[in-house]
Amino acid sequence: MTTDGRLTPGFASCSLASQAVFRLALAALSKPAFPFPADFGVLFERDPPMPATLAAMALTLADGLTPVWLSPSLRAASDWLQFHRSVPLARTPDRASLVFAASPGELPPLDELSQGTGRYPDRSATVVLGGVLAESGGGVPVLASGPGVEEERVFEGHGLGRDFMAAWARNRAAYPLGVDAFLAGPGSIAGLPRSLSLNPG
Amino acid sequence: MELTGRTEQRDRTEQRDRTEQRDRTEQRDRTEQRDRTEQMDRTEQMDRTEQMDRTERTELRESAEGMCPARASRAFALSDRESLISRLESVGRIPDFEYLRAPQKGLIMVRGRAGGAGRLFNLCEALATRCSVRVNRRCGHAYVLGDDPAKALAAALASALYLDPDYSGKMASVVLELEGELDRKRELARRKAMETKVEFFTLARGEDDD
Repeated sequence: MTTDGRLTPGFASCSLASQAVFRLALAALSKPAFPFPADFGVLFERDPPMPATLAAMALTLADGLTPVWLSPSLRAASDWLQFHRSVPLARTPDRASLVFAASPGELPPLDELSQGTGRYPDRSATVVLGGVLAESGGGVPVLASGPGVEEERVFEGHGLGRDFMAAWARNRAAYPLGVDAFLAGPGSIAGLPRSLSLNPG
Repeated sequence: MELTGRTEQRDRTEQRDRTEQRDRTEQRDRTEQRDRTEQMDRTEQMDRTEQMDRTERTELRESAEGMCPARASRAFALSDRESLISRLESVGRIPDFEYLRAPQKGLIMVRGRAGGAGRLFNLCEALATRCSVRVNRRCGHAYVLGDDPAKALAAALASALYLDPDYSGKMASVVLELEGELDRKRELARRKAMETKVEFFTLARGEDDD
């Protein structure tokens, strides 16, 4: 670790950047299924070892008390994340409180993640999912509804497949338990709190 | 350098600062670099231990090539800012460097064990500055006590250069010089403390009744 010449810096301005990202994450959760523009690349002087949006979320949300699970194609960044945030790495997704996946294909089944307990529903995992929300994201358009959404919101181009939709429906059914998710695509993030319903539009 | 065993045998009191493991990664770097407060003990046991300390270190010194990075980091972290910086400059032009972590201040938990062997307890928090840089593809990390970004940077640079084959020879002698300086300071403090040493003994009374 000491001799590893491949480590790269974190945020150019550590506190300002994590505050800005955190604020955006809060906004995303309070206005669910709405893609907020998030040009997180500018927060780094050098390209981080994982996609900038995921990297910024990781540096902002993770610390020494949050076991993190990284999907296989993100593992190259584990040294970097450990150096900057001293995060414990979870060997299996079910032990993590933060789950980062590079794409929906790498996402472990949601119901295998930490669901929280009846007494402490907040102890569930939070998922940060990359590889979505791209310009040509595709996927079926969905109607999002639930707390924080006035009537219904059509959510398009998110790149989520039917598998995810089905998993999310089960997640919603487990309320108040279940995971919360961020879709962290290139250049934007959207929040999917567990209270949100997604239905084919 | 494991002190606990000796401490138990010699029944001496020594206060050790141990930086709390702010994170796992740096903990590894630091386990061997435990800062010890320069608190002087006035017992003779202390003298003996100190001598041992020094002999051990002299032996290490003879095999300077195999000097471990933690030992170098310790010397950089404990030295005065001025002597560290001037020695670093004397090594030659410092190559361009990149911050992995610009100097940042924070509190670390100082933990101790009574007598070096008791239960671990939190003693206090101490202000520390840490810094990590990369020079010539080598990373250097430093944790120094107090609010001292300049020294943290210098110590991180020194640690990185120490790992660089082009500089390691010069840096090894810098480490030895700094250690010598630390030893002299320590010795001076010890002498100063010894000047006021008081021997307590029981006066004989009543036995010689002629």
